[in-house]
Amino acid sequence: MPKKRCLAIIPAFNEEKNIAAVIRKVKSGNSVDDILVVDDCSNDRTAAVAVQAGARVVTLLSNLGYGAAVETGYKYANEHGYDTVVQLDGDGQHEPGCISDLLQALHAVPADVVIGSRFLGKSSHYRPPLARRIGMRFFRLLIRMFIHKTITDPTSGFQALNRNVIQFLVKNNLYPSDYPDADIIILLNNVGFRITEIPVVMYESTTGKSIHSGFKPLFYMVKMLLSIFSVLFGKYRTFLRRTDSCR
Amino acid sequence: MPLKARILIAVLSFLLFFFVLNLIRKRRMRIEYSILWLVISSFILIMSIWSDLGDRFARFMGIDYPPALFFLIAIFFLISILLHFSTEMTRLKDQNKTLVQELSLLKQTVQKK
Repeated sequence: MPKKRCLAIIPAFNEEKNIAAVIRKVKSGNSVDDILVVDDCSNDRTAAVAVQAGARVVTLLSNLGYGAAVETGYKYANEHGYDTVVQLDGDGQHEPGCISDLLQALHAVPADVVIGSRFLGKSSHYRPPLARRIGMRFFRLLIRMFIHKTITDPTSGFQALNRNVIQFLVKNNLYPSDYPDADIIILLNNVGFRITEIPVVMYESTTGKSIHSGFKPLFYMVKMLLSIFSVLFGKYRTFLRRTDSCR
Repeated sequence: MPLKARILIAVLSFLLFFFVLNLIRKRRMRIEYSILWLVISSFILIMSIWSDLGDRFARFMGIDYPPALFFLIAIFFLISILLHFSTEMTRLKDQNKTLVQELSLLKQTVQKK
């Protein structure tokens, strides 16, 4: 059997200051074969810095948003036949040292999707602002309602996925362009993928302008509710069936 | 409705109708979008010429002020056109996203960064 190949996908928008360090740390971890930076049409030298640091770089020709950048990475992984994918943000808030944990969980649990949570485990010093905490609590509740599983950090962009999930997402054009969240977790669970969560280390975003911030919370809530609605009643609805059944 | 108002509406809807036809002729509007506009302008034209129809229907619906029915129908048409635009925009955005992604990936393969 050939060796399993793993790709690290790093979506980045204006991260020339952080991207090199992230790439270097991912490289030194030795748990991925290749690193792909998806530059979401940055205004700064993100792409050049990433190339210099030794990553492969796809520069999007116009700014598409976080989700679409990640999806571009999935497409790359799918085309090049990678077996597993790890995605982490380009701003350095995800500790690359945890990549091996995510990959290990993928094989050990076994799971199709492993989400890195900043709330599990002892190292959770992170306390988001109140409005966001309420929102997170709310979506956690929805997830528990619909998939009978607790996912503490559905917004986490620090994940490992296997080939089947990537193929499914790419083929059906299902990934949201902006911010994948509870909606995509419920969707993947409904289709029969096994989702699990492990603790990871996350830092406060160094640039302060995390790719997840700057969103009007109320608008985001409504948008996410509608997205969950479309998952529950759309093409891949399985809420009437038992959720623990497999594909 | 007074005759003067009816003439005004008839002229305006007539102009709209031919304006849309002209856009098709110059290929500045796709046929599939023009049909809705042509239907609307002819509908207004018919309503203005045969205003008795609108009045009677309004009375049948229990509307005391017949022009209100006219506005109601106009707003309904406008909303359906806007909805149609929203769905078209969604489709275009999706297509655009896919195009940008595939082209960017292709460019990467060609340049081998």
